[in-house]
Amino acid sequence: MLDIKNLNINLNTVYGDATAVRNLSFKLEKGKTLGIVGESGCGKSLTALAVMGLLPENSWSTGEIIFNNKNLLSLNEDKLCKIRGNSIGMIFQEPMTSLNPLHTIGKQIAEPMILHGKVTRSMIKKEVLNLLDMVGIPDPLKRISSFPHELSGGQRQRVMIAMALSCKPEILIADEPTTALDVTIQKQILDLIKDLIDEFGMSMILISHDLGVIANNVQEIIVMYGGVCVEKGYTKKLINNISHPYSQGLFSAIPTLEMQEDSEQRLKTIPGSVPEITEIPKGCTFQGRCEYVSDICVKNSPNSVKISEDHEAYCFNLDKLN
Amino acid sequence: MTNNETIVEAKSLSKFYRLPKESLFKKPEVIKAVNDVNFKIIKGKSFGVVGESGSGKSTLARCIMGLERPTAGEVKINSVDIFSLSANELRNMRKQFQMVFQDPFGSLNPRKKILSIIAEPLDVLEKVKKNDRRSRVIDTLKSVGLKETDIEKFPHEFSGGQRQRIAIARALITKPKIIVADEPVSALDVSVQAQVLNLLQDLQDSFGVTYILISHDLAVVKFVCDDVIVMNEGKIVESGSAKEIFTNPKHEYTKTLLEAVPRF
Repeated sequence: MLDIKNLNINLNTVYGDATAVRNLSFKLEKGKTLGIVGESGCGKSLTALAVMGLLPENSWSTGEIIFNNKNLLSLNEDKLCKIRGNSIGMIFQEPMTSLNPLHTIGKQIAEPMILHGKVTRSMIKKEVLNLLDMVGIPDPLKRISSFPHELSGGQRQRVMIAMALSCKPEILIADEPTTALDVTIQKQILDLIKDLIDEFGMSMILISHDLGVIANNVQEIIVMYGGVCVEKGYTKKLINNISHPYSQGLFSAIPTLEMQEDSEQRLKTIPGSVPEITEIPKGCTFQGRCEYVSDICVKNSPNSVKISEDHEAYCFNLDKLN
Repeated sequence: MTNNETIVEAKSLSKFYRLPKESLFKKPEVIKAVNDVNFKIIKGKSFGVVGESGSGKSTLARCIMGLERPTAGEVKINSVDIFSLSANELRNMRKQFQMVFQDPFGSLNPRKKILSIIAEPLDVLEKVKKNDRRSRVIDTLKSVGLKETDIEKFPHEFSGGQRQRIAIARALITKPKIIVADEPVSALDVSVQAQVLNLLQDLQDSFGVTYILISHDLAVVKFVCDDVIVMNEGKIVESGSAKEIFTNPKHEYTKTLLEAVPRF
């Protein structure tokens, strides 16, 4: 349903031009869920914005984003507006700042439905109440006239979800939907999203830096580093056989609750830090921090290597690793 | 060294904040940020404070640091109640306890060089000769894994993880007995977070500092801490050894917290 081919996103920054996303390709089928995981600056949010046609002004992109046989990158603003919020909905990262503080939440939830002509005037209030009820906000009749500042962070994120779902989109993009929330609220929100996706048969792209969140909520994972995909595969296959040196480092760098109690233990670390967007090297983007780096990594970008059915990694040295 | 000597003790510690009056005739509402909290911290161990936002964990840290005067109760460091001290005495006492803040981008003065950022506690708390000052800064900087040449640089030249190392160096320079770290890794990328956590452990091994680690991330607390308290709405709901709390939680709230953590 959504087919991204060789997507490149370039940014014009004060430090010069930079390629933030390079040659990214993936497909999202109807009713499937896909997770993009990576650290700050890996290009995961820009990818989401590109699909929504919301890239910042100082950027340009090449490649194709095919959605229902249309290339979203070549559509003009008018046509994009008809798709945005209508067939593709998005939940943004910060529930604190992405709602308009001057309008009631009822008005904000109704807005996309009115814009896209989904409901008649007389039905709007009923629809909004339905949505509020569906996302689990208590006492919708009272809450419909609340302003965002009267709600807690978790409730605001529920309102964002109600807005994103109001037009029954075919694809839901959730960019770090729970990063600003406490763990117990995070669980509620993720469970809610999961239920609603099943109910509506939507597809979802979930973006997060939290591997636990990704692994528990999607069927397929893409691991990104420095603007490229370094590994992708079905969740179970990927988690059970993490192959790329970066993904391995990332997974073992996280302290987990299952770790054995031992005061001598240390976490494995990846040396160095994430490169600035203008300093991403040619060849393999992970070369500067990789312990298996060789000459070829500096010269060429690695191609996809198949690890098993539906699981691939982009690395020259996979045989050395295992 | 670990002869179970108590280094910090909180006795029925409370901190209430009064909200602005809603009406002239109503009584102002009171928020009980920290409500009758008791605990002891053993020298050389790491003490974790876990809780969600609004549970009062940061207020607790500020009380222990003597930055907030509690509404009731006392904080004893080495058996001295810090709130019975004069401002001068408290300042001298501060040599023994330092703080590492959450946001490495906001907590370093962008207009100062690393040398003066790290030396600032020294300048305030101890009188040191110029040569001494420089060599102590360099020693501390090396112990957190940065280079001697870094002292002439400005904060913007460093990455987030390096900045947090600088903040840790600043806390270490007066050779404190206690370091209070309020969410020290939550602003860092996962791969860098591990580096800083390992550094904290190494420093404890070599300097024998006592940590008070405040975090919402249960796995981080489990990795670093020996003893843990779980806070909810200003009260301690459960306390005990990290092993006990994480493998065999007793209180409902602790169980809900642990269950909510996504695993893979």
